[in-house]
Amino acid sequence: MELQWPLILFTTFVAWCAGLFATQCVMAYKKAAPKTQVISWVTAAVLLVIGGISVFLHLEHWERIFNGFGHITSGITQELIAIVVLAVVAVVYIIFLRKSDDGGSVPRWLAVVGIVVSAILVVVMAHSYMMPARPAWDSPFWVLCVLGNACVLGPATFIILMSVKGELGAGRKASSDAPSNDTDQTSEQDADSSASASPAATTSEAKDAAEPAAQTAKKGSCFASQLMCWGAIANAVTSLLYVISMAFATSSLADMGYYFDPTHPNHAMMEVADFSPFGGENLLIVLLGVIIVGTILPIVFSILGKKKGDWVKWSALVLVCALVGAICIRVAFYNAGASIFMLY
Amino acid sequence: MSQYAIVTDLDRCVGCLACSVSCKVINGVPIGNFWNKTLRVGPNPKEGGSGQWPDVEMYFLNVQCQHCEDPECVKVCPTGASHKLPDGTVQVDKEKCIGCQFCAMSCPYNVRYLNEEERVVEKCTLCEQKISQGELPQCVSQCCGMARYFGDADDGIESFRGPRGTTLGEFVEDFDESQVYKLPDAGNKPSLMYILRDMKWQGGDE
Repeated sequence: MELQWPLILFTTFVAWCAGLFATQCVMAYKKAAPKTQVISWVTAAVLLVIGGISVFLHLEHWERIFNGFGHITSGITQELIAIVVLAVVAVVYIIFLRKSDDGGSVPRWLAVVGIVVSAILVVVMAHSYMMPARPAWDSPFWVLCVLGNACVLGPATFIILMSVKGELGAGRKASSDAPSNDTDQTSEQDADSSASASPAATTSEAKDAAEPAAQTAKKGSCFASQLMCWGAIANAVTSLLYVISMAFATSSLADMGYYFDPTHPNHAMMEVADFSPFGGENLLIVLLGVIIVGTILPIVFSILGKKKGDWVKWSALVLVCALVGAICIRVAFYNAGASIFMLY
Repeated sequence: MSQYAIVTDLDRCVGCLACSVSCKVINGVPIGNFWNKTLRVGPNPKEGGSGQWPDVEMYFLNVQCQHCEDPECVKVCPTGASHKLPDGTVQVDKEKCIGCQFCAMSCPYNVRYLNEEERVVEKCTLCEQKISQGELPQCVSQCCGMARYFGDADDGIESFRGPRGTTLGEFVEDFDESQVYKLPDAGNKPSLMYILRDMKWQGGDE
């Protein structure tokens, strides 16, 4: 079917928002990167707003949503409920953040609630597209695929935000000054050396004072990098599984043999192969956009980031590639989304 | 609870498109939209034939909203604009429609259209304005091949009424249950039926 760009952007931005909020909840649970919490919260809120604006552009009569909106079996209604729940949890979250001693901590129970609600939002959003009429859409792998998108977009964004707040940069700078530093070392090893390499190490008092900051930097950078790596792998696995499920879905399309449609006299006959992820317009989008850029490169860049330690650059590359992949798989989603009676 | 439906005898349909045209006229269907479409299926090779003419077969298939028993379009509608009436027909309350088009996406038959002027989704109403007064849907009353019949599926299709006041049971040639087909079912249970006797039903059967 035709590409629905507002919905493509909506599902991408909401997955991004949920991934980022879940990542900051995970970091809060691990008591890492407290200074990045507020900016991450604000960024997630902005992403949600952009997603919301996108979906409103899809509605022909958005003003009528206040007039009878709420049919509970509708995926759109369920999405709205999930978004409202996430918004409520996010408000509670920011209140706890602002009230905490360091301005960047929340109770662990709240972090867990944030992770669960973020995951539920993504699942509910993706599930609303699972329609039996469109075999390529009616797959649990689609839900996993959108979750996979969130798993890589969130940590990649969070690492960039950590660098903005200096929580990531401090650890790296210190480690790069260390005499024992080796560029091939992992970030964990780098962070281990950062405490001893602090400029304040000339006095034992200063060294003691520098320990907590170095430990925080270590926790933050190591854990965030691990999250990004695993997120990139999860994104790759789930995206590939969904592409495979799309390929199998074509067997459910009704083949009418030869036919002529007087309402489209100039159109070629529909072929089942046109709706394969590896056929027609989809081939390049899936091979280049989804598989190479969207799944392989984020893993490669995550590993390079972990090895070389230039987190801002590599995280930005992971983010851009994962975004391109997420949009490409949605384009393929619509291109392959023929109904079982695929003629019109 | 009734289940109004249409039965089309495809062996009688001559593909004149009178149903499609009359639907557009009576319902003011916008240019580019088709609440009622007639598809030419074939010529396809006959099974066991040479693969060349004259071993081919062809029929015309009229496609519109199937007024499903368990319509997915009703389930996915966030405002309840798409709803099922007690007579079994699926209707759209245009004043409630927000134009999200999820109903169009969820329809297996792609028979829902966005009216770009009113910015709401429309489709075949089974001529509710006529059948509520005891008349036939326009696509049935205008069928010059005497192929289309309208009635309540709960009463059996033999009782369906055709254009000249005759019933399907009285007028059409004999058929058995195995020759009555429905469009592919994705769990929505389409209500409209098609009779095809000696040709192969294409697109999977029900």
